[in-house]
Amino acid sequence: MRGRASEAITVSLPNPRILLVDDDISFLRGLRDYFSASGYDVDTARTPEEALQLIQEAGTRSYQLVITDLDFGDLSQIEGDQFLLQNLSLFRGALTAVISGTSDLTVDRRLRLEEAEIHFLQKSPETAGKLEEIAEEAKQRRATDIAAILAEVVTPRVEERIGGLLSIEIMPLAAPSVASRYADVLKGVVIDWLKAREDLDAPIFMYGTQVYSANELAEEVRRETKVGLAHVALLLDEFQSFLGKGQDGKAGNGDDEV
Amino acid sequence: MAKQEMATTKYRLEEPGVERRVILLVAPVHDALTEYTAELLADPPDLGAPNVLCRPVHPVTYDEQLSRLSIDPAATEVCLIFCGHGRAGSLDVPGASGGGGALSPFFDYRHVPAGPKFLLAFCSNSGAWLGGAYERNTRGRTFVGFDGEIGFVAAGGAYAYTWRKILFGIAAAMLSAADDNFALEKSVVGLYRDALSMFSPENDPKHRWGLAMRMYLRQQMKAVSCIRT
Repeated sequence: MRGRASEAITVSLPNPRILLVDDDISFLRGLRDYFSASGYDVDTARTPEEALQLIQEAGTRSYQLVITDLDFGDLSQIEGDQFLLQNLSLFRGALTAVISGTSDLTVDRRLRLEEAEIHFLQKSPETAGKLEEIAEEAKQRRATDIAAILAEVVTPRVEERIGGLLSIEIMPLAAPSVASRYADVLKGVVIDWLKAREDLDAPIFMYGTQVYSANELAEEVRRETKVGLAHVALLLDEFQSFLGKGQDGKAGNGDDEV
Repeated sequence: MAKQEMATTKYRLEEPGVERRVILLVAPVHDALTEYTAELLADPPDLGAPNVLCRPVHPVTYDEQLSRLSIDPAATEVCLIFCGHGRAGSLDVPGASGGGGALSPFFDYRHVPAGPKFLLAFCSNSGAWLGGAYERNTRGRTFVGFDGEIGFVAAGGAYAYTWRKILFGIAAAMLSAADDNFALEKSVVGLYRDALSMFSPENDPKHRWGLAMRMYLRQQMKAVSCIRT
């Protein structure tokens, strides 16, 4: 069986995660519902102080998108732009945005936001569209980050650099474009691993009813045949078991590999 | 390796006092894959009963093979260990045109009711249908097979040693484990876990195909189906 398989490999990523900070509960709920429907996992906070606590609990690189209100009234003395600018290191790799409902910013403050690549939006009928653009950009950036992490794993030897995968969690449900790019990178990992073998033409891999050399198996992976995709899935499974995240009911998680 | 219809070792039915149990090792002569798995069956360890190794080149069924060996299934407890090509509903030997492509069923649903007391089908997809047939149609029998396709690192040395250890380890567990399914499955999974330890990442400098071996071991461990009826 050497034809292209009809089924695709099932590889998906966790939902992108977003942190929304606003003292206006109704607006916060509206944004939460909007982003939840768009495939985000949403955390909400009513003040910058609450947001910082959530970040501490979740980890500094847990959020792909952080959107904060500018003015928190009596609830906090910290303003949204200050909150982001003073904690830039916590948001490295994430997209950030400040939304203002009532006031504009001085030119000086606007420039500081621009320098830090923080979006600034005023609440208006167009806000939803702009937020949608930012959200899409966050998803794309996330896919690129994951691709970079996986590419780093490829060389010089997959086995030795497997620790690079620690940054990635495999969970059901993700944007198809992200899953697709992730699957492509995984294919590359498997092909590179096979091509790194010394005996490229030795018939070493017995699978189903066929025997394959490393070269032949790499070709199966490249062409996404059933056998090729099965090996991508097997290797991914092995990575996950190595990381203690396997779904292996018989052997338990992270069993005897460590 | 020259093709041979059958090679018999350690087994003589005419010998007085022969055990009422026989280990029937079947490794069809088909292709590179079956050549490798046949080597795993060569010179088996003592499993407490005489054994006979058969290497079918032409179509033959389980019943016919027993008949050719003068084994009376009604009077003999058969432990069948099959290494070759498997499909969801059958264990196969070469078809009428010989090795290469065509397959002919050696053991399928027709043989289950009067089939061997112990059956280890060490091949892809063997458990998917035959396991269920054993479960539904037999009492006091044992079946071990695999639900889905399985892979092997087809190399000698530590790799062949490991596959043999698993293969005959499973056979020994089938023949000696307590009656309950749990004990059997625990023994079988234990064999795979031991093998995974042997090929753990820190041993990769010793094992060129270590990662592939772990990949296939884990796959087999997940796919293995142990049924004691």
